[in-house]
Amino acid sequence: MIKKLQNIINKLYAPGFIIGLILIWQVVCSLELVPGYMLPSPIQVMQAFINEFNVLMGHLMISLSEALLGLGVGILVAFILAVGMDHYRGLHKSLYPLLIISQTVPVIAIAPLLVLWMGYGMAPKVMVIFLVCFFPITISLLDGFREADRDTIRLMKSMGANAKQIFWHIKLPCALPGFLAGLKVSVSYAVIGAVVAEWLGGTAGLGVYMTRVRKSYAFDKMFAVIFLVSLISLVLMKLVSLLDRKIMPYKRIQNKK
Amino acid sequence: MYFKAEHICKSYDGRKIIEDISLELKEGELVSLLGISGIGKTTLFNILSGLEKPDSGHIYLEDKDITGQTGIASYMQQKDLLMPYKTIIDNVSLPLLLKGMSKREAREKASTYFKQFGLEGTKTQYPIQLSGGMRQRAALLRSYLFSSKLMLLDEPFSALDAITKHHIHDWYLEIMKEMRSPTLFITHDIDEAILLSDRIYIMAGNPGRLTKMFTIEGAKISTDDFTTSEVFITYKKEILKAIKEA
Repeated sequence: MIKKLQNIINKLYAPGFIIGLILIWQVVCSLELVPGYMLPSPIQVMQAFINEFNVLMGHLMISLSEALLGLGVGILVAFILAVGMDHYRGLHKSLYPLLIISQTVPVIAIAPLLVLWMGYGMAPKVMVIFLVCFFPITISLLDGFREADRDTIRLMKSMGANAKQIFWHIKLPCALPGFLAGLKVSVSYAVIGAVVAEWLGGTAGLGVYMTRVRKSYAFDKMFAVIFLVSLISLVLMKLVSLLDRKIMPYKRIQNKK
Repeated sequence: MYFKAEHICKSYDGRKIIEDISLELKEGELVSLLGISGIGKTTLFNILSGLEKPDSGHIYLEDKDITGQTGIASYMQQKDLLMPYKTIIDNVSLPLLLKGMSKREAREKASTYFKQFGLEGTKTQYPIQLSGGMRQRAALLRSYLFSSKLMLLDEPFSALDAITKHHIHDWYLEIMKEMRSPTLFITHDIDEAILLSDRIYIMAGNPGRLTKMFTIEGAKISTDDFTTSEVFITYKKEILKAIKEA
């Protein structure tokens, strides 16, 4: 009972602190320590969020579908690359340096080019998201495949297992924890990637909305959309955590020990 | 002869690891290979299990040449090598799955052995929830389900503490009475070798050779009585002498 209470109290620290910060913010605005046109109060932000709710949801759907599409393509390509590179040493040797170099190219800088090449539609956005997402997933998968226990693989070979069976029963499950860790990073990249890509041009999406309200100095709406973006990232990360628990029940038992 | 290895030689990078090893196994027999660490026992097992090819020599099972063929002998090591992400039932039924059985069939067949192997109630548990002794039992069941034709056990109990080891020896002798799988057993524990084996080969030298063979004729009714008996001590003395001479 006491332990339960302790747990609840422990869980309240972070939310309590955040609420405290928001209160201070509200007080600062109410006392007009900062001019209202520069920093809207939390209540104003909340109001903007409610007033603009329908508009925001419309833009959100666009950004979210871009993010998920880019992420999906990223996962697919990462899997194909990682499996191929793990299987063929030559492919690994030739592609690995290229992968690293690809990450030194600032995606933000080539995004305008992508817009020029691919137009103002969804395609350049999905491309940007794909470019930021596929790398962490590929690397985590590759590392995971490599971590597969050699002795266990030998044992399976002695049982006459073929390459496909070894992949399915050892390599893939060994790569799952890393894959999910990479995915957790990638989902937040994906949402941010979508917003940044939309800044560069387009007709809909949270990034487009953000550019519009910034140009009209509607700071309350600006904050509303910023909070929405981070909220969505949090929700997606939580979903990955749930997936984590669902497909790796043994991890929880391991952590309890 | 049921199982036979003839004149097995193997070198790595020009260094001879094992030289001219010949051994035999009758049906239902448990034979130990006793020798110090690094003598090439594991190399020999890799060859017998087909994971590696010998430089020269041949291996026969029921007069069929199986040199370099995997998938015939089952191989168990000191590490249980159970997969942490699979439940015990899925771990032990894995070899059946590899042979092409469906998941349901494999689970059903594996289930029938759980009681006999003292693994009741562990089916849906994960390896980490089991004690070391229980994990080795599960690993042994997995090996048995893979192949009962020939089992190669490479120091299977050496990582266990003395008391657990004692219990598992009793259990192992009991279960082998029913299974009667021809078994080659690597160990560096002399007591374990005398207790469990029908015959013992001493492996020694550099490169490793089989220097001597003992036939153990002890009534293995009660392990406690046997391990403290005079016969047991006599065997132990002889074996120690043979190891020193080699």
